[in-house]
Amino acid sequence: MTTSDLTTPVRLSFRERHESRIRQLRLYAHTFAGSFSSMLGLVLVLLFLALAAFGPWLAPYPEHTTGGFDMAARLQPPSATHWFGTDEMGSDILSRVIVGARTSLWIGLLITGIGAGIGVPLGIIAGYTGGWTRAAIMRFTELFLAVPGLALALAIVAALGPGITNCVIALAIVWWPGYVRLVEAKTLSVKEELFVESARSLGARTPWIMWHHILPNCWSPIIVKMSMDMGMAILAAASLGFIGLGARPPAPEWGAMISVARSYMPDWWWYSFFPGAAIFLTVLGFNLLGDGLRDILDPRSRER
Amino acid sequence: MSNLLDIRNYTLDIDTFDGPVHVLKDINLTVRRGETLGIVGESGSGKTVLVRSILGLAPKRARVVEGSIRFDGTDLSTLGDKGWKKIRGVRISMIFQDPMTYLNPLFSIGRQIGDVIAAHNRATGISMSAAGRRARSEDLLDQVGIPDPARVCDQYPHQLSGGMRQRVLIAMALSGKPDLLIADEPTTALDVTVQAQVLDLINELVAKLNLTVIMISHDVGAIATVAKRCAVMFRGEIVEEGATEDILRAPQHDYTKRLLAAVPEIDAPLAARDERAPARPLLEVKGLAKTYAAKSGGEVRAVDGVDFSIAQGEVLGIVGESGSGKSTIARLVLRLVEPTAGAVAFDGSDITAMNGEALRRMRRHMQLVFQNPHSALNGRHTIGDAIAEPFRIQSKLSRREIEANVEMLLDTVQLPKAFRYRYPHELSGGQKQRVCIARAVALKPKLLLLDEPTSALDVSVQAQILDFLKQLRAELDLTYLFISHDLAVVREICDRVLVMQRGKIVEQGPTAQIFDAPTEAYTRQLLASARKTAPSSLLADAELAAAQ
Repeated sequence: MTTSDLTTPVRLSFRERHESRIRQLRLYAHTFAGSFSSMLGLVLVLLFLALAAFGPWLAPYPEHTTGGFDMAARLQPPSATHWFGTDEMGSDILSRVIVGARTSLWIGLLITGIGAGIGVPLGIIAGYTGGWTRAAIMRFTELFLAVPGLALALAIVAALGPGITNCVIALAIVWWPGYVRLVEAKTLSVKEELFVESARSLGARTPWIMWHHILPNCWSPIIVKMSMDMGMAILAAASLGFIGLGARPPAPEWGAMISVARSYMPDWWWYSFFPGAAIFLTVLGFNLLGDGLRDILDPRSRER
Repeated sequence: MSNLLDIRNYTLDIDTFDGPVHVLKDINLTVRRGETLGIVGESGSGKTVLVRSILGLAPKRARVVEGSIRFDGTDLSTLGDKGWKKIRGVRISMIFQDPMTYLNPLFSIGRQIGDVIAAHNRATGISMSAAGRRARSEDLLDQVGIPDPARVCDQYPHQLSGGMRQRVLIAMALSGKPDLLIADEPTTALDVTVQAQVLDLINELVAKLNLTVIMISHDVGAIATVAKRCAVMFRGEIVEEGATEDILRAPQHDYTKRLLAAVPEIDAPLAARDERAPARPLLEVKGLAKTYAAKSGGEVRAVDGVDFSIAQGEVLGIVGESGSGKSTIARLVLRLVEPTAGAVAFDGSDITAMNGEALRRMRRHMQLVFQNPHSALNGRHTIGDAIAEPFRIQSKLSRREIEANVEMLLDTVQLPKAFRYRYPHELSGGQKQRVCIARAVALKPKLLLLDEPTSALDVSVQAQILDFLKQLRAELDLTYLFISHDLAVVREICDRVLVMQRGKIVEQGPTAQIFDAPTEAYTRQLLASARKTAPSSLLADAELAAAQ
């Protein structure tokens, strides 16, 4: 028994306690499954995640991804032994594409994670406090937004020196302003809600209100943006790799592979085609998933 | 008289994720030409879905299971888009609850009415010049009693008051010379005095234009003012139908009896108040004022030099129409809004001088209950979280103690303990308001500010909440500042009443004095409007007419 003798606390099973949440999730799943494009996005993303998780065990020639080569089998077209063909060093392209998924996933997660990590708190602070703080944060954000993102990232990588880490840092620096904008706008509307005033009348401090009331109500748009940004970040990292500022060529990174494959273009098409297709499908997958999530998380579609 | 509208065995389901919801069950209703029919029901009774089905505007996932609606001989369920064009707005038109949302803020009134006329003309094949439309718009505005229609034609919705906007919507609805006018809660969003005027207007139009009207409302009084015959809806069924007078006098169905008993009566005998010795004042407000800078450069005095005090254990009512500054007073007292001038002394200490931590601690002694319980609760928190919030903010209790307290409070507000795990959207309005009250009394405040705590609720729920508030006050020795636009409710619960108009206190005094012997013209006007729709006075009128 508890210290209180006033009441016997009600104990319910997990299923009973979370009944409404379970129903909500089932409704989400139902809506999501009803849309072909959302499901396609989900399948592509799951495939990508599976490749990232089990890549080294799935790849037929794992040694080819760590610098091993087979000069006898240079630039062979797709065949039964090499499904995606081989590159100029005789490495199996399928293996390199599969293992490249993990690099891309890390890049995507880090960039969106750091972007949201910087952007969301700034957005909430700007939106909730208003006045000078808001003006300062928003003007600073707009300064970043005014410069084309990739061009700024280029400049930063050029200053820091090429490499995956620097590429991620540079892209994260140009990525956060979008989150500030999004969260600030959402905060502005949430803070006018009656429950915020109600918490204030209970004597809640500002950080409490931000953490318990504003943030939970901003989650849906943040999740949607993050899932869409995953694709965009992977694409941006591949672009930097393509112009030689991201991963260095022997590393199995999709952008870097296309960068080398460029000089073998029309005749040895498979060399650039398969990494390109991997980028395309991943970005497409994340975008479709983001669209699907937006459809189910949008309050206007929650009337059922 | 022929039947203009004939609804037979109408049954309608709405498909949801959890399976079909039976919204309308076997509805049978006829309306004769020239008749006014009222439909009374509380929220969720299906009355709005019913009248929208008449116009073919039923919700998307609605499915007619059985039955038909015939209008002037044609079966409405077989109509295509083309057929509807000749009926909607032309032969049947509708006016809605909230006049502001149904007017486009970007276009002038004349333009909007003109557009409706043009649409009807296209549908019926009449051609009319722009000048002709304008003249017709002015005619219509004149018909609904708008003074100086030529000027109003050039104005925009935001320049008009709520009552004027509702008149404009009625004018629009009349522009097609309809046979049947459907009014969906036409007066709910309006102040009492305006409400009375709009109801008068509907009565006048019925007489003048030989209109047939179906009016739906949750307010029995409003229905009784307009409709000779009325139907009572409950959970998708019509439980009782007949002459309004008979239903008011001798309701047959249990639900109707309960509904009528719950309507607060403005002329009911005042319940005996426990006479206490004059206690020391708990809250003293002196010269309180709040001015907002207006866009046009001037200033708006929302609250203009208000003085009052509340004694310990008293219930003070603040009455006034929308815009009179009554809600602003509650927020000024709590300092959720910074006052422009004046002093608020609570329990002897001046609140206006407090800052930061002192103010934060002060707030636990005064709590606010909001009008709309749904938006006052964060939809992402469970009820348990919501009630635990005051403890987590203001006390250092352990998780287990808080849990015990939450369950005790749920008990106090008469809700099951298992509600802890529910989310606000799963609760009804009355239950949500109880949760809000539980939150407010969690820290054992001395003063509870109630800002229209019952106006978003159904009458039967309102009666429960009012009883509960009275009980709670005795149990916890609370002092209430009760803000409301509903005079009957204020009369029922308050010891003393303060009447406000445009930011100023017009009159204040004990409840009996304000209601029985008001000294100011404004108070008398408010009372007259409120009495107009009170069921008892309607019955008295009917008896008078019968006697003559």
